[in-house]
Amino acid sequence: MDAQELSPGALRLLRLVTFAGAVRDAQELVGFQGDFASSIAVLQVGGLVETDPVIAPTDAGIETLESWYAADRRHLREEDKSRFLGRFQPLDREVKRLASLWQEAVSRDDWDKRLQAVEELSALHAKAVALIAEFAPVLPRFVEFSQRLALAHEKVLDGETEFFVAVRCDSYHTIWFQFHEDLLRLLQREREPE
Amino acid sequence: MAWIEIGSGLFASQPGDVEGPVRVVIGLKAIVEWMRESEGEPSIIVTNVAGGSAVSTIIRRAKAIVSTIGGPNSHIVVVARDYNVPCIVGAGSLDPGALQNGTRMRMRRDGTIEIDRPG
Repeated sequence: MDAQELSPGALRLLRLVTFAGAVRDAQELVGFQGDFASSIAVLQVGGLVETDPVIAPTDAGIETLESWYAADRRHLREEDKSRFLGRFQPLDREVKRLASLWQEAVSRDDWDKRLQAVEELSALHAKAVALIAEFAPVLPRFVEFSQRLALAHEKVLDGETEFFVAVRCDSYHTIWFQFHEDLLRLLQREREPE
Repeated sequence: MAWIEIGSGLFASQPGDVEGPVRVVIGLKAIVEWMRESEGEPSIIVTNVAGGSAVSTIIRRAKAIVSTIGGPNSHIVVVARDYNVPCIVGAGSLDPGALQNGTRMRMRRDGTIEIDRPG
């Protein structure tokens, strides 16, 4: 089955399942918005995922996804790839540092540090949104991450602080890591050693 | 039991002494294989990843986790802390290939990793 035949929802689901490796149910797929049942049925009929006993991509599913990334990649110039990654990586290190800072502040019940982490998140968010906007002409798909990050940031500012780091919701940290994973697959790059 | 030290790393989440059967999970295929099996005693997972969504998949059903790579701010540590799962990272001296699934493993508070060598 060709990736172009898939609906945006089914393609997004295939990406998330492949990123995760395997999941037991929809609850384990944080960030999927859409009709899970119909999307998974399409992927199953197309032979792109298996669903018993766990939901996992088949070899055909992995191949289909890779061909989709390859088509996406063809529009990118080498200099754009390097420039984007060069700007992304310092932000990535910053997100990781802030996630740890936040968790430490919460575990110690340190409200000054919590405030500091939120302020630093706002500064980082402005840079992330600017980066995605600057590259939108060549990487339009990433605008979706910008919108999701903005929503998570807004929720943190509104006091729903689980949207900073929590794994079980579409938190800033969760979205950022899906963004990072998507980017690495698109650019065929490995993670930076830590 | 005869505990033998086989490596060490940074105990970055829920430090303390933890003991359980070891399960080596290297690569996406190994995750799927592990998840297909029926759940027995929760294992101490040994892996070579520190980032990516697969980390959440692993941690959700692990008793504890040891990664041969990663540092204190790695994605795996953030996720492990969120799930209150003990996690050692940067255990580069550990050779996952030399481990047999099911062997008893012990993670010590100071980051030392030991296995039980019977007899």
